[in-house]
Amino acid sequence: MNGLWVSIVAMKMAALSEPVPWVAWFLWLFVGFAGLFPLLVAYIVWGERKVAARFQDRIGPNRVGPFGLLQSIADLVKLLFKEDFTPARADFLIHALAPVLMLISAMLSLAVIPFGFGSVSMRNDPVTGVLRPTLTGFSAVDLPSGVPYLIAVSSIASLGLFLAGWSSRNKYALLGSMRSVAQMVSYEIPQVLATVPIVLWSGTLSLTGILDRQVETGWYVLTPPGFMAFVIFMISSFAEVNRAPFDLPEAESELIAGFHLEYSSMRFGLFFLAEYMSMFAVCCICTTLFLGGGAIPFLAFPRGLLGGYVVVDLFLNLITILVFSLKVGLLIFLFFWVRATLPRMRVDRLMAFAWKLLIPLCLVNLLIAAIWFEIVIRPVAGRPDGPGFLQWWIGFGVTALLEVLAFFGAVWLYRQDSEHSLKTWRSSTGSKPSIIAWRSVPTKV
Amino acid sequence: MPTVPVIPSVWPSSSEWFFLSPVLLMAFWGVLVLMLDVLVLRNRTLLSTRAKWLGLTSLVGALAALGLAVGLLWPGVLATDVLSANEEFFNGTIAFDAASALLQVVGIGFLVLVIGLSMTWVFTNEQGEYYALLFWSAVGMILMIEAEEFMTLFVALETMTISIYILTGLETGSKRSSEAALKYLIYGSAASALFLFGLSWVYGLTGTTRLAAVGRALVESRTVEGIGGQWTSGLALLLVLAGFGFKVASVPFHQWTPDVYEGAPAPVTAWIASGSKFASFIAMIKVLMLALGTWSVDTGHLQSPGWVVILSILAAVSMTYGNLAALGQQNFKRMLAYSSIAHSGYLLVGVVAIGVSSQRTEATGAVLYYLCTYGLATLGTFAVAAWLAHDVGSDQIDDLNGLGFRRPVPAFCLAILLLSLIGVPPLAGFFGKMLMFMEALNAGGNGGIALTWLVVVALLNSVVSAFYYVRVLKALYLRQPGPAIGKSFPSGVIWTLVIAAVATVGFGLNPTALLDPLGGAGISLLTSPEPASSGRPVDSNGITQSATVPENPAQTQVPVAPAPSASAR
Amino acid sequence: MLLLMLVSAGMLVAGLWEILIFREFGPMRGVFVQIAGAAVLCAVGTVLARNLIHSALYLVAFFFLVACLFIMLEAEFLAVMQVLVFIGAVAILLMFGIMLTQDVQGDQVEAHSVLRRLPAAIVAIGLFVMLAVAVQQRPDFSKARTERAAPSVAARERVLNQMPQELGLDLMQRWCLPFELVGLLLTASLVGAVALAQPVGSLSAGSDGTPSPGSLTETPEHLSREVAGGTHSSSRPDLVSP
Repeated sequence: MNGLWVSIVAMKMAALSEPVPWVAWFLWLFVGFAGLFPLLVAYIVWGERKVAARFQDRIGPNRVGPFGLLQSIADLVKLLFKEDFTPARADFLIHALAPVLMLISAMLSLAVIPFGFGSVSMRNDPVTGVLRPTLTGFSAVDLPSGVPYLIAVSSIASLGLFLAGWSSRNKYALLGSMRSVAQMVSYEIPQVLATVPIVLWSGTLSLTGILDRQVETGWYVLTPPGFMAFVIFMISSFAEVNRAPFDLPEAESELIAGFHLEYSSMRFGLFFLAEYMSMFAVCCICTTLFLGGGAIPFLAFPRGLLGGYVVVDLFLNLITILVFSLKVGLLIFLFFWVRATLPRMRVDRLMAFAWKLLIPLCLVNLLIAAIWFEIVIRPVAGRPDGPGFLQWWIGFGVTALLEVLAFFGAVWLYRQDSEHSLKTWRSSTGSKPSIIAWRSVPTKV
Repeated sequence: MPTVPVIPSVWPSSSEWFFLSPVLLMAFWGVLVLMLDVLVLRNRTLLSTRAKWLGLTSLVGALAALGLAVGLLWPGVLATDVLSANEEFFNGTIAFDAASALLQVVGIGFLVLVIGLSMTWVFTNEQGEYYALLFWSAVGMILMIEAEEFMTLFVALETMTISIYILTGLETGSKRSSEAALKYLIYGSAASALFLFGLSWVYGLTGTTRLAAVGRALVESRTVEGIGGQWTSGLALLLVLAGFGFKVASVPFHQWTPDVYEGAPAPVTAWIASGSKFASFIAMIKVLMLALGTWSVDTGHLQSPGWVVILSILAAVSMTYGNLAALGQQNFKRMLAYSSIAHSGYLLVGVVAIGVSSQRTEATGAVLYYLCTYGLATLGTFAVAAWLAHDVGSDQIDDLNGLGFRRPVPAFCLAILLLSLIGVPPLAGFFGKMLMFMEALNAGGNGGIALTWLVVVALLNSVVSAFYYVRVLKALYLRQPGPAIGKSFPSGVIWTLVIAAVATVGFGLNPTALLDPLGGAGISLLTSPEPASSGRPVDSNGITQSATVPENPAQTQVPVAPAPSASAR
Repeated sequence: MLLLMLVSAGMLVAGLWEILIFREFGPMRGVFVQIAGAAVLCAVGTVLARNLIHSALYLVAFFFLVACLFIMLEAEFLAVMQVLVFIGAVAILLMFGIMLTQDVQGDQVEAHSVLRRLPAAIVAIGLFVMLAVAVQQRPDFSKARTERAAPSVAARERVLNQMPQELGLDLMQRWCLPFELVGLLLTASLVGAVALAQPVGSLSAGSDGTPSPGSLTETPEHLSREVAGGTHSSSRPDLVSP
């Protein structure tokens, strides 16, 4: 019976994945997702401890192995052997499910990242519809709708977070998860809106397609609207992965540990893994969307050489993957840096910051991105030589001016508003209360 | 072999947007009013000042939209004969023909009166939102009238309904208002879901969402397969009818009506009873006649008796229930709510008459005439209800005691409107009822179903309705004035009442003035725009309309009659 | 654990059913039957679960399985959107709503009696029977279908590969009017939600910070009475009168 079942499943899987080579699937799944990425994450943790130690004028882990390199492994072993504790009144199944959901979310988003350039094949240009050589990207899956896919799978994380807090039957955990869901739902909007200019310029939702366009036309971060989008994307990513200064869901000083308060042993380890892996994933996404993936600055270098011999392709991919890793490493360092530098945000300012500053700025940025599209990208669509020097600089000047105006305008309005809120808050708590004043008090979450 | 269709998928031309200008104006004016409130007036002025300015701005906008709509009717501006045959107007999602051009004037006219009514009384803090939502619900209403396609129809219907849910709950500090909004929302969502489910069944059966194409597909499959008698179509039909039944407040779906009519602020109630009902009935006629005409009568199978029979039963039950329940009401708004259910019943008789009559366009004209005059009369009566709620602070019929002595003009207007609602001869309500009932008797076109019993029930119900309307008349003229009655009427109420009463008398004395254009509108309402003959095979869903598709057998296609003249009757 | 067991049992049953009933098992059909079977189980779980959060979780699983079915239909973009909208937004909001309204710390769920469940079951089964019969009886629309030209291979590939683009073009061109109208609908809902969710002040509070009840003659008396009488539900007495 069992054998029959297994053979049926195997047959089906074979038939389903016919166009995809088995070997590639196997390698991605077991070498990449089950082996390499968790290992990478372990060393990101080590790196963070080292970096944070330098910031705080300490040495950091240095006992286990050379430079403390085996510290993460030791921690892992420790976590595995600790008691796996579940509160008596907890909802056992959901309690177990929650960290897994978060890890799944982080892993799924890694599935579409083009780490290297892959090979070259003929595809339709998304803007002009003409067949032309296009990068295939070195990714597990190349989804035509990659960007919405990323948004979709990252939204699963907030589900896991919520369930973790809910199933623990602990007030602090519940508070932490309520905060986190509110935070993630709010910051998802600027994060998504910041990717819209990229999609607009590339004309495709596929991450490989976006990479290809960047190799051809230059990195998106080097354009004024792209830079603004990059900054907004990074800020909201900090909030999405619950990193400082947005780590309110697990604020130690207020909520003890927030949503993972009642977790111990490897279940806590899974949260830990999920947090760092989603940080890693977010850095990969950011590199792909804004920093040109594995492209070497100002060069389209390995692109022209691809598509010949397999060995050459492999070697060139290695180079691009190295460049990609370097960029991701820099972004991860930015995460460490911010965490070591900035204090945690106040909970009422958190929401106001997303809704009153980031989202309006994103919307304005979208309009400016459309101006860039009309000046620089659309007139030369389909031409091989790309935008002319003068044209590019005209576009740069115009949009940079507008970006500066938009930024200072938005900040000015935000300040006005928060001053107003503060004033009315004081007047409402003063001697003369009024109902109208009550309305303008910032909402607490 | 069918050719590969050239699907007209283009951004509509500027002339198409121009024909939509009243709607666009209203949509933008809503935003404008909202911004005026939020950015300029709120937190700077007193509520009364704010309300006055916002009301005036809205009134200006609504009047401008009315002007535009009337302007489009001006001879020469709108080449009716060209437009009515144009299937590519907005890629076939809406039609802009004589019917829409005329009916949108009526709809915007209702909006103007409702805005005037709203200005008399500050009942909500959220003034900007109130007027904006009023405008947006009007946009949904008019697009619903013009819709030629299920998706547009549904979205427009939801725009109208959701705005009205919120309007219902906007009365500040009134628990009944919130309760009404909640009830309306819950019933309404369920009804919308059923309606959408029904529409999806129709789409699944025919593969298109365009009304005319659905009609054609059903006709063809009927000749081949006999679809009229199947479970599938029966289910789809019932679900669609449930959705419309909710919107027009006919009996099995009427539970929300009394609570919502009583709880909502009076201007909103007036808007629900006039505008929403007006649009829903027109959309219903369009869907039933253009798309589901095949299912009007049974085809010999027991499962699906056809919508003529179903609607006849609904009509009879609605009339009887509404009138009997209204008899016992002390609350003026609640009484009007039940009377509104009863009037839905009368109007359903008219819809049935369109289905069976041998003179469909005349029957349609009669229903439209009744809708217009009923809408006006309701607006007038709810203006009095608004005055009651605003100045007297109560909704009871007894509070109207002796109004005829103290305030003769408004009382007289109200009396005229009530008499018209009963259907007393020289007034418009009488002609509306008479024409509709005559057309119901005029069966023979479609299967020869005699609706004599239905007309008899309707007449008996008219007699019953007289009792409770006359009770109000008695309060007006035969009772001693109460203490609160000395209050003056705000000008908005007076204007609405006078306009409604004058229109009721005028259209009653000279019904052809309204019937002739409405009859013309009826023609284009019942005529699906034919596929363009320019060799551009079109259908919004990619169905090629090749010239070899045989012309429909006479069953569903409405004969394009010459313009009817009411004097001929 | 119950969930896991139920779903795996469902898969097993569906697989067996497929072997026994269909006799032939093409890979796609088998996968479809399993996904659909699991989806049905999740739907049943949504209705029968006693705990509201469990119910919502079953719903999430159901949405996810529907997304899987979309993928089987080659509608990848739709599947992504299904996950994005229904799991990412609807389910989260649902749970948030449950959490803010119910006694979330406990599992208190009122047990519905059989008498209350019976009508619902009858309606559900009745609807199922009607739908089943309707689907079984569905008329053959071969004639109507022939009018619709089969899309060319190139067109099909274009649509499958660039579904978002094709969809966007269609929305902005053919369906532009309903699309814009949906925008208006959402605006109206948003504005309405904000208007309804605002803390209810009294009508007499007119301007920012300056209480000005006396100057408004239009304030209806019954409303003022209501406010003063304390029947006002949401006004905050601590702020209204010191």
